[in-house]
Amino acid sequence: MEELELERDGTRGSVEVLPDISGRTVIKLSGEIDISNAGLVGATVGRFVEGTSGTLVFDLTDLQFMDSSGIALLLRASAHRGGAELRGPSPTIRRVIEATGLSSVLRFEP
Amino acid sequence: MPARQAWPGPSRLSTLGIAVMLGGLVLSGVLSWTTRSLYGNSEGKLLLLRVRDAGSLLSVSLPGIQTPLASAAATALATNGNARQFTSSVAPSVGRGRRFDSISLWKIQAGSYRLVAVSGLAPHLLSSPGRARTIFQSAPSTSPLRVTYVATSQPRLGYAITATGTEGHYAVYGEAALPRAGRLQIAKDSAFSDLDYALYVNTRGQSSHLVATSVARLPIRGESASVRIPFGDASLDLVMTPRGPLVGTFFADVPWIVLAVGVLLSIAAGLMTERLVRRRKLAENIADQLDDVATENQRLYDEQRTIAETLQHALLPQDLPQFEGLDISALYISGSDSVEVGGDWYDVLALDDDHVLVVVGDVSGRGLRAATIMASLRFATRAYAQQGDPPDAILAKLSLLLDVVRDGHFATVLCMVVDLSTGKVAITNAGHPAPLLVELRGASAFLDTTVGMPVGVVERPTYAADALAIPRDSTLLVFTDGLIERRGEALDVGLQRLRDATDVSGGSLEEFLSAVVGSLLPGGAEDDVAIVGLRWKS
Repeated sequence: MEELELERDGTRGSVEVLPDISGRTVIKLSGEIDISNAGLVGATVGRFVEGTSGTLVFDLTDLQFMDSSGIALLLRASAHRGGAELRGPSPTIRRVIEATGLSSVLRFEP
Repeated sequence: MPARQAWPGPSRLSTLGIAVMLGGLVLSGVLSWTTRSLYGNSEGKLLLLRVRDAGSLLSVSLPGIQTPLASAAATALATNGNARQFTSSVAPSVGRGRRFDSISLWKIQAGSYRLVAVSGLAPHLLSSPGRARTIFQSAPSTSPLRVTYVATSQPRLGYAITATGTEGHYAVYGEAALPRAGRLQIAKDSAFSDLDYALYVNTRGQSSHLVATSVARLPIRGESASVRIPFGDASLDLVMTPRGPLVGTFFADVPWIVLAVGVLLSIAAGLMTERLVRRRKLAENIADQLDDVATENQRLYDEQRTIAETLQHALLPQDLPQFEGLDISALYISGSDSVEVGGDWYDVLALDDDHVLVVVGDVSGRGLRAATIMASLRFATRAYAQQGDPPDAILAKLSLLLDVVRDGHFATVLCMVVDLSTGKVAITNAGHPAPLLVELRGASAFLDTTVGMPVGVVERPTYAADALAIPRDSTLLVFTDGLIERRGEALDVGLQRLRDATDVSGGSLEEFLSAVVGSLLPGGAEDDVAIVGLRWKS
């Protein structure tokens, strides 16, 4: 398990890769992601995604807040996989994904 | 940044430091003086006690003079002036190292006196008949012992005691030489060795004479005390002065120690105060400099913000076209805590006499890159619309210009073409918040638009073309999410807040927009906000 704590300008977020036996890549995002740390989080996520294959899953169970910069980094990381699955997003984040018309790309895990 | 002197001048003492030092010095002086007078007082009292002690000791020794003489007089009376018996009775008291140099027996009869016997040296009284008459014939006083001072080359004291019998009376007269030159030191092991003294005798009809002293020069000066001791018909005056401090040298030094410590403490206190004053000054200087830095930062921040706002406004429409039957107004509010240019935009463009393009979009993120993407999307939209493309086609073409993987940004866009003649609106929504329709009576509803993929997410998205009819006297609000979103709050709460804020009546469209923004963002916007209002006139 690899983990990285990211903090900038008081906004705190963390990225970690969770083990998964089904061959999927599961990346857990925690805390808050906004424009102040989206660059760092995005670079880290990109590094984790690089060299993996199979379905990409973002575990958002412990993610409290994400703005459009955060959505952009999810889109960026999942573009070459034909999208990604979101695990356990909060109702607020779920609503934003739906309202932005992105639920066909960032799919909610069944 | 202005250069500043960080350190105060090197040598000038501060007023406070000097004041503290002077205050300390005055206090030390007063303390020292008080200690000194207390010491002087106790020294004086102690001296008086010592002199009284010495006087008591002296008076106790005086009977040693009177007793052998009185005893000899009694013997003479009893033996009727027997010379041999007299001589043998006084012999132990006469001689070198003894109390008397000479003791003589005199017979006094009918106003004349006659020497009967002498033990020791011949009395000097013989050479002074006047003195002898005085001492033997003077009226009896309260004391049987009469004392006289015999002033010869070496002064003496003479003592006489008279015994009165039936056939005349006898007088016993003793003489003792006073110390040579009057000097007699107190023995070193005596309890009074720390004192100097002078002893005077006052005899009847004579002036005061020195008996003995331990000092070379008389009279005794300085701190002294005296006591008078009765001695026969005369008296002794004992005057004493301390050779050194009686209470002890330490106590004598106390005032000086107090003064010295006080002066040192005053100087230390003054220097300490000086140090504190300087530190304070230094701290103030540093605080001033920090203020300067903060001011400079604020200035840079303001400058950056001004640049961002200038750029932002340059990228947005300067004037909105006006139409008959349709009021259009727009507001752009920069995010309060950002110095970077944002990606929100709005645009209004008259396509022909009857058609108006209205666009509100939001490029994700902030910064120059987001702003340039916004600008290219804005002008591309105008170009496609001018070519006659409907909103769904315009947004599909925009998707060719933006790629979130390549550019790091995507954009939500609401694109509308308003038909002024029919009041119908063709709308395509690319992931954007739906517009709010506010009717004349305040009832409001979000337009039911088909939400498509934001621009820049997939290469060839397909967009729906919605056609909606807008009732007359209604107001349509098209906005970006900064108007309704709060961090950590559900989206629908913000949407409802907007509906509540629009439940106002009267006023122009501009006033309406200002009222809505003022109600939703009383403290300024956190994120950038673009809002366009359209009002169909009846």
